[in-house]
Amino acid sequence: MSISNRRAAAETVVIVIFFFSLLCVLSWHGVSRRVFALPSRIVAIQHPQEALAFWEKSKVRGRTLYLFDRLISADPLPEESGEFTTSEFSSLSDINSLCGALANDGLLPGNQDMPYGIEALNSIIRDRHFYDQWRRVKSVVPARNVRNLIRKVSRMRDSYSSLSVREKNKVTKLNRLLIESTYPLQCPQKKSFIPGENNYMTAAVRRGFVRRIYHVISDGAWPEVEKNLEQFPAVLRFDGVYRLRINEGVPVTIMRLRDIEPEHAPVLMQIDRSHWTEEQMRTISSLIASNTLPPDLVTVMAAGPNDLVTLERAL
Amino acid sequence: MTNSREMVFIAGILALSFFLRFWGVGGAYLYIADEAELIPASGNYLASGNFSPDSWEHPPLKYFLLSAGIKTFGNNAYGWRMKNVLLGSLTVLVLYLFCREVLNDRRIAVTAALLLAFDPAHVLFSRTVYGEIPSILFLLLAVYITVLYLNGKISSPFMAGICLGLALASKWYYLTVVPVLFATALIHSARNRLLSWQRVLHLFSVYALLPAAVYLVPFYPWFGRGYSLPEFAQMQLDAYIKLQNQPLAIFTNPFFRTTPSSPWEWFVKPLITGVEVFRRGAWSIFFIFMSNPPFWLLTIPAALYASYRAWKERDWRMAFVVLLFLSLYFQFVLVARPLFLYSAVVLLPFAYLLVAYFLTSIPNTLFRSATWPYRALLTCICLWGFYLYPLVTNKNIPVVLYKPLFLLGTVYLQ
Repeated sequence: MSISNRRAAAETVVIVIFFFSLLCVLSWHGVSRRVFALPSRIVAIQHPQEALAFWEKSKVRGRTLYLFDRLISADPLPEESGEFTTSEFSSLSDINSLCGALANDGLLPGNQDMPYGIEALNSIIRDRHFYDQWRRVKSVVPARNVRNLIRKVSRMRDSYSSLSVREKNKVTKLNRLLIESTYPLQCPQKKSFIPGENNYMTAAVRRGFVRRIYHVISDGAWPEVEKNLEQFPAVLRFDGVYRLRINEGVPVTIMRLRDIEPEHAPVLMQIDRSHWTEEQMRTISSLIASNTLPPDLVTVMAAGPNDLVTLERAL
Repeated sequence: MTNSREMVFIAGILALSFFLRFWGVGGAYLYIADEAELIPASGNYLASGNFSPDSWEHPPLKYFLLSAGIKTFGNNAYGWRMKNVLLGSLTVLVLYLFCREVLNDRRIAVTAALLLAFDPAHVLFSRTVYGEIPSILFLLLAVYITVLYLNGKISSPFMAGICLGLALASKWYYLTVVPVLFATALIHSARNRLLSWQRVLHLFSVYALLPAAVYLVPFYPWFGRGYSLPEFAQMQLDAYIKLQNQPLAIFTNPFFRTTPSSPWEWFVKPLITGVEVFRRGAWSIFFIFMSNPPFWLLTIPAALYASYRAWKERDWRMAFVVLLFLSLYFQFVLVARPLFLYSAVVLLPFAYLLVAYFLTSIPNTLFRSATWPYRALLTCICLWGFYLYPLVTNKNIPVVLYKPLFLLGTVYLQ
């Protein structure tokens, strides 16, 4: 059985049409999902998380961010306690189901004074020695962030009640993460404990606000940044700028002010004023004024009295 | 063997493969291996094109397959692992069909299928979410359809292009197979005096454009994050660079880091790594990561023997199998990054075909009657497979029975 030349030609045409139509559909699908927030606005913020809230409120999506800062990750929010709350469970039977699973494994002691419930769960969440019990029962290699916590908690010497709030949060976080990883079906996941979720840049990427980042570094900090980046073989260097991808696959280009090239579509700008001199701020303003960087949303942290006015004028 | 008996035999091997992969698969209700990353990532990717908490550099078809499994069987251990159980079992069947088609020898087909059905690495990874298992099925289907086309049983290898695309959308391993299939189909047309520019274009579109299109489809959610085609091309290039530059230290799982990571070792020495996770008296449960020492060690001699026979007898079919194996294996040997035993699983169908050819050819040359050695061989494969099975599937086993095996590798006892 052999295909005729005519049928071969027909199949070829079908495949070629399918291939190029798919390219068009994907391209259109991508570009059409970008959401801008015109007219342009500039706001002063106190903490990077406010920039995240501002982007969320403005409903931007799939955007290019110009980050004028020294570090890509701002200080994370203070750690929360890992204790359970009833609102995390959809019903009482879900709480009992988790208690039952823990009790089956001997991790939740049967106790007449403390029946199954949130208090029973939180009693083991506050147990500084829970990891030792868990380790005897479960042979799972904990994730890297959990292993770090195990080290920190094992160094604590006092009983739980004598620990500082910060230390208590570490204990409860460790126990919560151990339970989450062991009982993924029964235990609700605490959102703020997902690595990166309390970092505003990671959150912006995961929520789809930002699709690529240009991280602009001041000339003063550039030698140190260059030295750090040269250590990583996966970081590419070309024309004096560096490019890498963070965990979510988002490309990050690390550059100086002088390396900025004209953008055709509006961009998001996040500026930490404390890393930039007056003259450099003027350069940033001139990039905006000349439409080299046409922003729709500009967030400025640690803004001086004249900064917002200067940037407003440039817009 | 009559056709109906053969059908019963095939059904038996398929049922056996399924049983070996399915039994106790829901026992571990906590996440194992990469499940902690892949399961949340499959939800994230389908909802918003976001790869986290998984890595972005691998193609995303795995999220669709995983999500389909969870939708079908529920968000539980069966939902996570059943797609590999089913697709892993089907791989054994497709290997049988492929062997029958390419070499037209039932004995080789049965031996190869039985070897794969019992293989400890294939069984182990068919009980997890690893992407290697579906990907090798798709590749094997692509190769099988190509052979059907070359044998004149179908008029067009169109479906091979789709399967090849699915394989590539699961793993990049198979890029080197694309030119092999394309060139084989081209040479076949030329030898049959059917070569025309329409044929060349047709084969090119089937083996290059169609897989490329199928490869692109699972990226639809990722494009939905606002990306354009040039950004996609850049991302693929970056993925290649990242994969090429991965040092051993990047693999945070300490168990993986202690396992062999050089592909040249796969078929030249016994590979057994593991830990004893639970002991009660003389019985223990192990987590073992292993090759199938006697049969894997025969792969290189079998490939050399098959190459010799292919050259001597001008047998393009055997040459085709050897070429498929070598094109896959050499990319692993030549690549700079560390590769672990789970990558070797994708070589197993071709490796076992070569080993089966080798093992079934020897009795033919040494003995007058080749029936009893063949039966003895099948019995050995089954006995050895049943011996290894409880060890690699975390069953409670008497340690004393396995101690000699542990001497071949590195197994940490309590």
